Amino acid sequence: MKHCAHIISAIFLIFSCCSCDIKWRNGDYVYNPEIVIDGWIEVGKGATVVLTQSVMVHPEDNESEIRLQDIPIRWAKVTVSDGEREEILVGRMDEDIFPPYKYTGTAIKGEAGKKYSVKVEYSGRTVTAETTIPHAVKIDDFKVLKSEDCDTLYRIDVSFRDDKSEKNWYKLLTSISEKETGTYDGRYYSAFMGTVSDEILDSKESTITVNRPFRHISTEDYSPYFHKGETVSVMLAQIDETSFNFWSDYENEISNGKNILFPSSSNLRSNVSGGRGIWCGYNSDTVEITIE
Amino acid sequence: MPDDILSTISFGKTALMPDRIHSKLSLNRHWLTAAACLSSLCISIEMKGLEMDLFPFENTVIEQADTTAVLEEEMETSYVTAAAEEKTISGVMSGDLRLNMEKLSVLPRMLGNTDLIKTIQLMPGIQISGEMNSGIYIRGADAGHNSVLFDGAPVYNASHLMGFFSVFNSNHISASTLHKSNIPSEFGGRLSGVLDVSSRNEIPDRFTGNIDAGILSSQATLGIPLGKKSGLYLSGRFSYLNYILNSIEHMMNGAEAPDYFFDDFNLSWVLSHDEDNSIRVNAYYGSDRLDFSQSTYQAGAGLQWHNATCSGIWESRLNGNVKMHHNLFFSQFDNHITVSMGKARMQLPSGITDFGYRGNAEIRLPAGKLKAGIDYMRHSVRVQYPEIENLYNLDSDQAPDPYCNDEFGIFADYSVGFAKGFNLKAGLRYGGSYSETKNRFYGGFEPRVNLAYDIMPNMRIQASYSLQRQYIGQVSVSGMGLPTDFWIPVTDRIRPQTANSVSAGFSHSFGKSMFEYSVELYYKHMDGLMEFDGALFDMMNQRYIVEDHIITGTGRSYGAEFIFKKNKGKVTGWLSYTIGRSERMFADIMDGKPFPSKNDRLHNLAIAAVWSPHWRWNISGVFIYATGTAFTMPGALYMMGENIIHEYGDYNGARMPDYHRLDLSATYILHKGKRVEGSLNLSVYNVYARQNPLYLDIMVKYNEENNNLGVNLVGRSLYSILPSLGYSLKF
Repeated sequence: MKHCAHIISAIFLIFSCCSCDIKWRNGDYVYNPEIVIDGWIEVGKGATVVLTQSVMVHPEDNESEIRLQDIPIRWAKVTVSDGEREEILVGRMDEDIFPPYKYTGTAIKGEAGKKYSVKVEYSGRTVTAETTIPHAVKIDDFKVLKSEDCDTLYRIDVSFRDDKSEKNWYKLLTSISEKETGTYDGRYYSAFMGTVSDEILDSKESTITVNRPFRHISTEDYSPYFHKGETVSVMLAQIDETSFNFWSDYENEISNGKNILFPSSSNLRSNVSGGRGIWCGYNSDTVEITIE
Repeated sequence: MPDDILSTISFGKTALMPDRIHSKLSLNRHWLTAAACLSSLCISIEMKGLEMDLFPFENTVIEQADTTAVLEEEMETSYVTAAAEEKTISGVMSGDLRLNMEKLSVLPRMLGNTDLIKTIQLMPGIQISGEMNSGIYIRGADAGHNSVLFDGAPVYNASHLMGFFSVFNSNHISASTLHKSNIPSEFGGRLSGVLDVSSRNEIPDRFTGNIDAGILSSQATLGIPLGKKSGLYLSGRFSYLNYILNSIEHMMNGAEAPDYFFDDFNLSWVLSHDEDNSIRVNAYYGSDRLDFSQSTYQAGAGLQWHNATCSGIWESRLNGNVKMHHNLFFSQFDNHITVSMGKARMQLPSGITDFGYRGNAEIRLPAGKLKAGIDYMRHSVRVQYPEIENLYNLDSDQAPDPYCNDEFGIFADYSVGFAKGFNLKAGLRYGGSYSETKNRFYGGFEPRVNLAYDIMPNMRIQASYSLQRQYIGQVSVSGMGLPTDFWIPVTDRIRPQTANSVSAGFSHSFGKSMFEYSVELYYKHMDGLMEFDGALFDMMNQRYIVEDHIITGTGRSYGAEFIFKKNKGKVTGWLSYTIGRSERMFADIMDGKPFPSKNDRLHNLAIAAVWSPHWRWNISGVFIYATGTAFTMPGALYMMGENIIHEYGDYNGARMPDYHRLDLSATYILHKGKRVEGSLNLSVYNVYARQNPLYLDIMVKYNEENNNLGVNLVGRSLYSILPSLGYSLKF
């Protein structure tokens, strides 16, 4: 009996040792929050920069909360230059975007073939980035098609001609609004699987499917298709190679961050020096399509 | 050795070949000297009355490859028995582990299956891989650094069920040996160990069967005599996991689980033409299929892979001193990954087709034994490239033609005992590979040497050195041995991998061989190691050249292994512990600073015990503990376009929680007749329901009420406790 009691005690001890909470360890990782640039400049338009800062993941806390009001950087000095002139961007609230704060400029407007740099000074730190605005691309045609498996979901195909004499990189973005619900996007968002190099495109006419942007903070289930009643503004832009690398990594990260077959565990290639994110020059063509 | 003992052993008179019996009987190294390398001869032993104490691990599953049981003859009864005298435990020390498949079945089973590779992982120096990974990680090397041979034919993906267990049907296997270190030079082309698995090769004297019926899968093996000189073995195994899991998932969540199915088949034909010649033909085919869909995305994915091997083996004895072994083999591994969304579809096919020949001659010399031979293999490798349909409204196939490589080796091994208690094994191999596709040749010598000294009959020290080269490597995409990992041979841009290994150890047995232990230290330096730095989108939205995404570097591993065994009595078992490090240095990762390899585990502990209180009962348990897997953990998050982006910390700088679990098993023999035996096995995998996470899921959820983002670190496990019930029938 005594022997049996010892066995039961040992089993109890094992169970109590092993049923503790799982704790993650990240070595001696020391982290200082970084400045993140989400900025762009388009042909004929002034620059827009959304500034945020990164937040450390504490491995010892399995559950934590990030206060979104702590993420935007509101008191930075943001300077844009085209190599000849400089402009300090003006910060202001914008409830139509998330996080709701952006810096905008009006004096320096984008021109094809020119280089633009941005400098962010904040809290004793300086972050810089440089981008180029490539040549224009024109949307030749678009089609709205029912999805293969559902009558109420639609996809959009846009067609354009790629100039095979030069290397080009393309980016699709969308801005969606819906009259019935009164919802609308305050900016263009990266379309899912909407980053492509002309290396794989058809030489005559290229057609790309426009997918709905993926958004982690959306409370709705994601579907790549569009719904009836939505008005979709599709922007097809040419970007430079550095921006293409960023957006390709970006799509991989948001799609495969949890994919155990093709895990994503590399930081996004970026043109931002001293921080994270992208400063991107767009030369784009836009069409507005209402799904009837 | 007394002459009267020799009288019970006659040379060259029997059809029993040493390879057939050495798993049942091995002789003392001193005997080998006295009997002029007995192991190279055909021997016959008066089996009548042979006591089973010859087995050094009567109730355990490991047998030593170089056991030193001392035979004694009882003069009056003419019995050959094994004396319980002190002996060395050279089996573990020599780097070779031989597993007795029949005795494996008393250990806890997973989903009703006894698994060879999961059992191997309980040995010292072999890392515990956890779930969804049936790779063998020896002394800090990668899984792709091992050669897995099924009847001499290479197997490139030895896993079923996404790594839950291996392709080897335990009922169809007669012997399996893991050469962990001090690899004989007949085995080439890999930096680490060799798992050499052989199908059943004895001629059945009657119709036999072995049926295992489990909850999630079943298997059957039939032995069919075809006359006195020939026999056939047929085996089949299949899963119905899908039906069970789907029902459970439907009941629990109202959702459908992924479709999963696997099966495999074995065939072995054995012909013993005469006393000096035997022929065996073996074939294996196994396939896996996994499909799952996501209705919201209108997306689906599928994984399919299959292995096929075929070999023809001819063994002949030319005279009492020379034995020849020829093996003509074929192997194929095919892997298809399919991802679809709407009309767009991407496939990632990859695979290898091999055919080749291995031949060797074993020659008994006046002093020592020589084994020399050649091998050749033709690889046709389809490297993983995407095939795209309707993506960007294009159909594209960027894959080049299969890479064709000719790999060969010439080798010689010599072993000899000298002075008093010294034993030397020295081998030299020249191996090479010619890339026909890229018109490039690589080759080099591979010396291997092992020196052992018996301080006392039950105490041995030894040291070994080896240089190994590898001409076809596995590129790990998943880091977990999942089907996205692919093979690539040497090309103009991919150079061979090399490893220099040294080890030294000590072993001791005591208590009349009741107990034994060994300690071994090892160091390995590897060069030409590969890591994959590509991403899925790199394959889809731009021109993709796989070599652009393979980066190379060096690695080193070092550590100490310890094993303690109890060999006899009602309770038998062992405790194995390894402390070690495995590091990598890549110029393109962290500026060349050392980082832990994926399989770096500082501590590996395994305890296995079998209790046989009654002939009807076998109770067993296995406890394992290992340091958590190294992985690259996001150290921070940031927002871009309303998406959360991970900012990753140091490469493999973080650790999964430590891995540990306890498995228990009880086998009850329901009936045991002369020819029929039925037993029931209840196994519980992960008894205390430990959540051993497979990966870290950082879940971010927007809370509209307080405008905050909730961040949850969730370790995703496949399951916790997993009971299984199985019935076995042997006749």
